[in-house]
Amino acid sequence: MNQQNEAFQQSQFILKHLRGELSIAEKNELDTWLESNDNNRTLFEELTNEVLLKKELQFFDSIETEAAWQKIEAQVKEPAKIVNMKTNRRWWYAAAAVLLLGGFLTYRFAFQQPDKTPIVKTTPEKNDVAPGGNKAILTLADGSTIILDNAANGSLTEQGNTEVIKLDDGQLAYNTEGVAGEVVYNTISTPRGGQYQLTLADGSKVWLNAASTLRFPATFSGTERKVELTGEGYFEVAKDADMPFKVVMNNGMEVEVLGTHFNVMGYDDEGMVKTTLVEGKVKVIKGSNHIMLLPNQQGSLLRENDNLKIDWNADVNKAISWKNGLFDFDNDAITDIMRQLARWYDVEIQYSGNIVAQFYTGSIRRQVNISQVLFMLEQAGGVQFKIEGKKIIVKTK
Amino acid sequence: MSELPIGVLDGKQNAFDIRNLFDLYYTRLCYFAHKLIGNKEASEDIVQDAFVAYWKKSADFDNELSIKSFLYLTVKNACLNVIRHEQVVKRFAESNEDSGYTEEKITENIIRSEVAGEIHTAIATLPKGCRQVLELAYFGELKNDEIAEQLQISINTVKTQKARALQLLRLKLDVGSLILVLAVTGF
Repeated sequence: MNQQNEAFQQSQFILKHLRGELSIAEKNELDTWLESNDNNRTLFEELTNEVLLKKELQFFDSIETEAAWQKIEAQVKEPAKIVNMKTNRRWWYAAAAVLLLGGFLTYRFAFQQPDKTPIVKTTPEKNDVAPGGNKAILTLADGSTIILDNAANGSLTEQGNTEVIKLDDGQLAYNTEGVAGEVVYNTISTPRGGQYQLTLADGSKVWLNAASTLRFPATFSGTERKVELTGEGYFEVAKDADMPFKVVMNNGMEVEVLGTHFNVMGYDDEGMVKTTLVEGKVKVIKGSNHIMLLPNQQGSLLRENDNLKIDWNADVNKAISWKNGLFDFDNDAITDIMRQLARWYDVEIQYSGNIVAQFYTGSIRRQVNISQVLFMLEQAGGVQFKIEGKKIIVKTK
Repeated sequence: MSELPIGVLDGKQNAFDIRNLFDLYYTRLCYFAHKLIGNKEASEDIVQDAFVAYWKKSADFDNELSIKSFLYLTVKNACLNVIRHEQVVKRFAESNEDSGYTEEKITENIIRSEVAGEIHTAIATLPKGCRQVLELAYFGELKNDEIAEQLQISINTVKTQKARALQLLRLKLDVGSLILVLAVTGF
């Protein structure tokens, strides 16, 4: 292969690396190339570094392509179809930064560099915390418990006339036969670092976030379908106009619906209980006050004074991002972010020195190890972390 | 070598095909030349000449890799001519100084141009609405409500466009597990 073609080949490897598409063989070739020469590594770092590349991309935007094309055409003297291509500047750098920072991070984890000592260690087996998973404990009416992460699939138990079935994908379903008998309550709890999805007897689906509890009847009867929630849950309530569905929070707040999709976040350590509506209509009730929510609205109950407020332009995707396997930060304070991480990775957060208010925007999959999330935040700036077992030490600056 | 976006050429090229090649390679070749000779105008002239040269003999090429190789080679040779000329001039003024343009440096700059060029192209194909919002959010560091005000659109539209841009970027250049991270604003 001549040198030029080899250069094209290496470029493809670097681009594939940025796209996360390298095969093992290709990664080996890229590694060999990186090891073979210090200049190669420097070049690679430059091309996967946001700040450096930002500057380079500015050059691309400074070129007047249309004028150049016309000059070329004039020289060849052949009429050609001109495609109108307006270049828009500036946003390149932004978008490139988006991509490259990601790529840069991927790089740091893929090729652990001994010469640089990032504060977050990149050896996962030693100093890292794995993400949470599908874990929950089901407590039956008689007080017996079933651990759901290792229970075999299939029928778990019978609750009155209801069969509790564990499905293939780790979900739980309640299947009711015949008429309802005595109302039996079950409780499902997720630990820190756990989440779980279940289908209730009426067909309503519930996703429970980490450190949350749902108390619910094995069968629904009477005039309403009432469940009790602590922590955070996303509900897709089956329609039943005759039997409203009610979620009762531990501070007495109630969310009443007929059939709709919504999220309720009410962890005790969060200052507000937030109800976010995806579709349908819900009523949020606290004491004698109530608000009606329509899709894309979020109702907030301030815990300290029971003040109910509606955000008319809520970010629904952000509210249910956890259910979709993402952390989604939108100008979120570092302290808010750390509380979320603590629940999902089951870690303790300790602040070193004064807490400087820092705000972050971005999203990352919940399935990555904690070091990757921390690294991402460090790269964004203003904060440094140290992992000590299951304790994260946070230093804002 | 992986396939490039414009597909196989069949020898019966028209101006439209050449325009596609131009759109894809012009800026990155200018960047390449500029890295070698450090003069933007001269770089553009060199690249334009390379395209003219290619156009005149486009029937000789049957695949994009050979076209790309031809363009890079033509630009490289023209740049080396400029460098040699400058060195001759320089020798009178200064002591003998090697400009340092080894084959290795040239190879490095091809890689630089190709990677930066591909990233540039990936971003270029985002729809306009997405781009505007991305620009303001991540370059202008504006908040959602400020973007909404500036573009006269609702906050929800801002959020939707942001999400869409990121989704598209993810499809075009998936960077593994990380989707986006950017703005950090402190006070």
